[in-house]
Amino acid sequence: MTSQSTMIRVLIADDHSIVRQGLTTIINRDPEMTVIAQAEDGQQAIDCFREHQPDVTLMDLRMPQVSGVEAISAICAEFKPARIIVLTTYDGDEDIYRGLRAGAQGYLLKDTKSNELLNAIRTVACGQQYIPPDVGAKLVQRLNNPELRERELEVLGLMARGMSNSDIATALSISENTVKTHVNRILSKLGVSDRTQAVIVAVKRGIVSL
Amino acid sequence: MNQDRDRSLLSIPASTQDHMQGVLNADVVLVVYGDYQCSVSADVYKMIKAIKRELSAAFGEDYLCLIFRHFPQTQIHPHAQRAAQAAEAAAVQGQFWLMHDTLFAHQQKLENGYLVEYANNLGLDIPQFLKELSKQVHIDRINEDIENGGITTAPALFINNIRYTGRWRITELMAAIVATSH
Repeated sequence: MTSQSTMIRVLIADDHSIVRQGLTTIINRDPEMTVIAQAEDGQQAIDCFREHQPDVTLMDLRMPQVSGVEAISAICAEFKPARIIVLTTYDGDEDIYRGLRAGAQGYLLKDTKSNELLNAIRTVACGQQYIPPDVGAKLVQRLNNPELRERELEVLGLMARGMSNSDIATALSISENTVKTHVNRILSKLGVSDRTQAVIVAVKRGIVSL
Repeated sequence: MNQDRDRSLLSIPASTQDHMQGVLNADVVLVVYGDYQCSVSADVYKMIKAIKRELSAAFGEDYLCLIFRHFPQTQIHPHAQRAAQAAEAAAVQGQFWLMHDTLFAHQQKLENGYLVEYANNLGLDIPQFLKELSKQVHIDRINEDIENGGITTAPALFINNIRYTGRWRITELMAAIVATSH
């Protein structure tokens, strides 16, 4: 028997109720863990964290209003020892990088098997990190990639919305020539030869979303 | 009882607004509701395609008409709705069925980046495709399919307006289709 005080108390933040229910069932079946609260978006996650101060939080990345990354940053700024695992369908290296940089100690994909999920919760609850090898490999890849500047990210975001250089110039109030310079730098940093490939690579890596 | 009967009938009749392979006055009109991320939907579509090929060879091209409507199950399939939007964006450029086949063939890879890649491989106008996807211009049509379908799960098949309730086996399905027209 595990006493209430040694149980690992878990908060789940995910905007899909069916995912929350599934995770709750898996976690509550483990005699050493219990789900103490569920949140539907990033803001609720922050509120629930303040109220319950869970041992481990499972956090989805793409949620309405406040995103997972924003919620992780806010929680970690307020509660230094917060232990958070990102649990997401997104395996782009930028998603991984942003999630871990915000302060998460673990990163799992939603197709993870239940025993691996429980292992990850136990590991992070002990204060250690849990990064599966394939996630680690992508993180290394991300760290080796040239960093895009803020303006380049803005331009890339507009390219992903199908905007032409002249549309982008108008939207950002800059000259079309400046946009062209940004686009060329983006192509070179992403290692691609045209804007369609730039969008494909950027969306796959999680640098921009559609 | 009434409710049961309603559910067994196609609620919105097939029309030229639908995505179709074949003609509306075919002997048999199949209306399939499917989800691009659902493996059973993919299997059923593959089965129907094989049946269509066989029956068209036997009874002529106008014997069977296949219509596809969207039923993305977003609670369990996070990429299904975006995939449906990609199919609709391809439809605007006259490539619905090619995108449709691609999506079912690659249903393990339906994240947004792949959708753009498939559109590019089909030679679509990518800026146009991206605009439609990012502005979600096709969401209403997809939601109409979902709301008006009168079904709760995908796949669902209607043969000449009657819901098929048999098993998803090719022989059983083909028998049901042939029986409808004779």
